[in-house]
Amino acid sequence: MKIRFLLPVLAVVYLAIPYLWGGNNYVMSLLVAAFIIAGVALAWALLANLGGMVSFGHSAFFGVGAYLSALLCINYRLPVLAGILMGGIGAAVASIAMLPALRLRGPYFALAVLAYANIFKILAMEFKGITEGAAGVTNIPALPTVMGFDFSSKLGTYLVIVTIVLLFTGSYHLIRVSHYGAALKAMHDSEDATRVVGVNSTLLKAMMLFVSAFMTGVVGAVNAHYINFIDPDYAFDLGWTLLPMVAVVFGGYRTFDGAASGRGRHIHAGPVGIQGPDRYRAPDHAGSGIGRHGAVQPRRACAANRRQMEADSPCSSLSPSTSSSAGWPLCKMFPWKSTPRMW
Amino acid sequence: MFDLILQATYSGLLSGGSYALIALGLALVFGTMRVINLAHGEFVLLAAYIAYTVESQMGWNPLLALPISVVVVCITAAIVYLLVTRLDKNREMNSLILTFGLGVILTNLVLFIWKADIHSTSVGWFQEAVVLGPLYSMRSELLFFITSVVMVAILWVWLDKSWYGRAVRAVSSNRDAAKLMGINPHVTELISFLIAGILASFSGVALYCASVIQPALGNALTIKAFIITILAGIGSIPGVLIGAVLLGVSEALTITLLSSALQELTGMLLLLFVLLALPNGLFGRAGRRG
Repeated sequence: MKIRFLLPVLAVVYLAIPYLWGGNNYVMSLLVAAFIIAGVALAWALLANLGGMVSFGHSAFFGVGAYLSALLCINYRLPVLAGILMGGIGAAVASIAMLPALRLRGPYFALAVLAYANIFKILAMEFKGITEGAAGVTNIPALPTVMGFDFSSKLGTYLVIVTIVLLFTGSYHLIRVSHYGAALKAMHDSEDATRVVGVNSTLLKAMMLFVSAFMTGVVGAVNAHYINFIDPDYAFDLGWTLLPMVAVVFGGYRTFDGAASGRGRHIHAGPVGIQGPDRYRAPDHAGSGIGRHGAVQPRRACAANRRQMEADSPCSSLSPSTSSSAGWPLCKMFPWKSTPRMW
Repeated sequence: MFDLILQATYSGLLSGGSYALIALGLALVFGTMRVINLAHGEFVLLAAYIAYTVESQMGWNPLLALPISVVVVCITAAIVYLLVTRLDKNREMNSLILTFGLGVILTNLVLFIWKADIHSTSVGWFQEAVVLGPLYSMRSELLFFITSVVMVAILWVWLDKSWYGRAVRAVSSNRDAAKLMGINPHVTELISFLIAGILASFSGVALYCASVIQPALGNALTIKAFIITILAGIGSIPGVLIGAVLLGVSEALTITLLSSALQELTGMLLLLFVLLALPNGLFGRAGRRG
């Protein structure tokens, strides 16, 4: 994201949206749900877009973060914010169990991680002494009131989750432009070649897994404190993998603003969607600023972006996607490799 | 205690047989196209619900639903094939996401049409006991097992002897070379999808007769079928039967010796063990996955 976009984004997210809709609990709850999915989507995209590891197991991190934070806050009276941090760290620790799966590639990795996610869910169900089993954890402390401002309200939670997602966005960006990002990009294209030039790809993948798990755990913990109740079926639901995946794929696989903006559209397509076909235009605030074009028309977005990069030949930039033999509807839905990376 | 373990092993053997029939379709498509069809469990579910409709609406024996369900499931399978075949880049990975999404759509379609109630056959004949010495089972379970073994045998012979069977194997071992030999890979892949559909309709109808069905079952069936496919290794048809029996028996023993809640855990641990320790599955030919 260019720095000149940053200020408008911050202004919209922190001033305009709270000013316009801050009092409307329905809109705020939609935005909170959208940003929770956005947070997981960013974490998922970190693995999938940068490292080329499609994971079906992020629900495990989400659930571990939620459970750990909730139980620490209830049993050890930890402050909620510290609990959220611990949730993220706990999810990263839990991801150590998944390290052996990093040896696998492609669909095997995806489904091995799915097996891990199922195992975590069963463990949460069975360790009744710690997790209360299928009955779930009730009365999870809400986000605190700081200096008279109640962060447990819809608006307060919105500000918390938006801050977290923006921080994640920043770290995603930093990872992407660092030499880790370059190595990951290279690994995505050819892992063998990357190993040949001396990159420790297993270590790199493990680090990305930790970061991704940490992010997902934090978001899971925030969600637990937001809704004040979790049970294994909810916290480890496959949907916590699925919805972010839909958001990332919908927004444009391997682009950045796609991952961030896809989530806004996704949630609106749910509860608001029944209101009419112009659902993509009406409540645009969720996707605004961060990515205005990624979700609905990935191809146009990519063309625009390429035009920036290769200003001398704007027309040729369209050819890879239009000449793709997949035909346009699928090409629009799955702009896998014809889409250049944002940033 | 010994009796109990014997009975558990027998029940596990029978349910393993039923898993084999479900997993066979997945394994066939996986072997031919390297596509893990995560909507396969939903094919089975669809067939089971058609059997339910035939029984509850027309009052026929659910076995008579077989022709209808074969037609419906094969059409669904053909649609899924047409969508999958339009992916031209990184098909192995992208088809995973695509079929996963199609599975979710099918589950919700079933939920929309038939609601979330749990159904099971009301034909008493299926539920009567068959006693073999000290071992007990339901007639339907035994029927399911026998059907499964027969289908595995038919498929094995078909792949071995018939022209199309050999074409399927040729495409699976080297797609480009098969093209040079005049085999149309698209037709071959479509055929493997259709056969997977036929196998899914048999297992769906049998599932309805032997057990209870509900919309959430599809995903669980897919996961079981996938575990078995990985256990067997790519390209091994009898391996599917053995892998399925292994899964069925270990699940049944877990239930008897430990707890029924840990049933799913057994399968998952088995999957992880095979993925991490046996690179080619139990019977698969050599190939890299890591």
